[in-house]
Amino acid sequence: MPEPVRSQYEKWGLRGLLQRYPGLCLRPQAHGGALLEGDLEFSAHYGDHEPITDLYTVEIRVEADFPRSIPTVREMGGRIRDGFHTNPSDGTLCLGSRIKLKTALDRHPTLLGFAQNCLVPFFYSCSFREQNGRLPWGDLAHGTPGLLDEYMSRLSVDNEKACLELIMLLGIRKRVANKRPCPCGSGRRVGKCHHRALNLLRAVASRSWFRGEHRRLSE
Amino acid sequence: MNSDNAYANQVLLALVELLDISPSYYDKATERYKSLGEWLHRKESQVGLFSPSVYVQGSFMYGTVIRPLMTSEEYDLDLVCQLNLSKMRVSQRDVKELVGDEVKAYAKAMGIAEPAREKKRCWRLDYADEAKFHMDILPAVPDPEFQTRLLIMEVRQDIAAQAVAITDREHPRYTEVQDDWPESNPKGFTRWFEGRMRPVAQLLLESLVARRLYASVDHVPLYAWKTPLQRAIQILKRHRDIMFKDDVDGKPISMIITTLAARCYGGERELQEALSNIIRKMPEWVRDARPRIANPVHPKEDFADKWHKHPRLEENFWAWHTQAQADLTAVTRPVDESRLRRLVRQKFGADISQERTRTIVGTAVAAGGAAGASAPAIVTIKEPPRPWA
Repeated sequence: MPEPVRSQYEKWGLRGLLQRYPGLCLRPQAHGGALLEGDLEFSAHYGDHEPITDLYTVEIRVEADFPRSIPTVREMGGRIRDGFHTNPSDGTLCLGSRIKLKTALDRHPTLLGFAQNCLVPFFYSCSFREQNGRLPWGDLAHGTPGLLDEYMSRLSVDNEKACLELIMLLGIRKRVANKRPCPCGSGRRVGKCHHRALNLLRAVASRSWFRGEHRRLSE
Repeated sequence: MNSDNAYANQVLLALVELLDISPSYYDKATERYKSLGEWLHRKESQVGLFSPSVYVQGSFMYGTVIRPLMTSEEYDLDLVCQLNLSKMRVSQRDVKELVGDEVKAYAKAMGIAEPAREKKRCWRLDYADEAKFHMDILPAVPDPEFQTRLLIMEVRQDIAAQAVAITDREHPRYTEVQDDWPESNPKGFTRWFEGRMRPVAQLLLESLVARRLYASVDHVPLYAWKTPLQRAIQILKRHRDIMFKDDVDGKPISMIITTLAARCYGGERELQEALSNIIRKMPEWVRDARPRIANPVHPKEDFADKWHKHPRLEENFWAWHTQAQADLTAVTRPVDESRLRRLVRQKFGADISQERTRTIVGTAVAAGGAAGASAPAIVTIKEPPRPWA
């Protein structure tokens, strides 16, 4: 066994999640993963809106390498009918862009953190949409443009080409990258220009992860 | 005790009442094992010479039986049939068959339709009358040599003195007369278990005697003690049954739950306190090396011996432990009536009546507790991810 499940469960903060969401039930899976299934009942509050209390039946799949990998989630109760931000190939929910979810997990690397920061907001926006016919904080465009959009705002650049080049720089060593001319076109080197925004992202994921991200976004 | 604890205890007591079996089942069990004992002592008995004694082991002995999840399920009544024979003079098979012949004759005489079935270590008898039992009868002989070894391992003298040798059909030398037999100590375990709750039970027992329900403290059977330890075990077993209702073979075994719970029980008088301490301390009694979970009256025996070959079983144990700890916290935290009923149904498959729920929630509020939560605690959403596809 790679890591005893016992210490893994503690590291994941599984008990905290189950205490907070007692409708969930834990099912150990092969290779040290876990499945959490049952009812996720929450009350959530956003901005000036009235709090929403709602319940969704879910299936959360956690792999052994959590929090490096992001859990995948399915809605099992038929509440999300029109394919609202659902991956058509496997029925998993599109909770948000990979980099956004990675950032949330980096700040709160537990399953409770994942539920509070990634899952509850998603279901809140589903319920909000049912009640108000619109989304509380919008959504991202489908596919690569949506993901790039997220990066552009995080990196404060306004064109896709510069954005992609900056993501590429996240895949190489900081010291090497900082000596390059900044892709934003400022004429300065990266170390004197976009390095702060890049460093914030570097803290969230590894270079190899960003190389993968760059490859996927360039396809 | 603050009002939240009072609430928790009321919930747990209401739950345990639903899990507990009627005392008539224990009476029935007693009747059955006594009847088998009498049979073995009748004039024509083949084993009469070997002063047979029949006694109960397992949950019917410890008073930790719970209602099966399905009404169609049977209760297991585990009996030991001990013959005063030396393992140096007979083979395991001799003992197994001696007992077997008598059990078969008994089944016939009692008009039990199903014939006795031979299992690896015991004989199984299926009663098919109103009380659905099956009896597992474990043949055993005293084992003075094993008793001495237990004493050397510093097992208490009165516990070691109960140790026995048992038979196993799959043992390589099952048919030979030799001294290498499987070992067990069911009576010793009962004594140890009883000892874990004796201090807290004393007052309880005296009050039963004072109410003239029993002639003396020694006459109160273990199942009537109803200590917080026994009740905690009942709750934990039912939680396990629900969690593993679709994976019956993968569930943590009762012996593991019973042993760990008894190890961790510190004589608490309140159920809620007992249960939360037990579940919190459990991991301390699971060792990293073998034996992972030692039998307290037979330190070399490992109740978790299957974990090595089937790691899934260990994962299931920790999953159960994590879930049980979380669920017990959730179920003892004041909530409104409908939420309380839903939680208890979901986690323990038990229906607390509406009336009872109202009383529990009502008393908590009257005692100055906060009104039960009618919604989960609010999450404030900040910097939410935008859904993406």
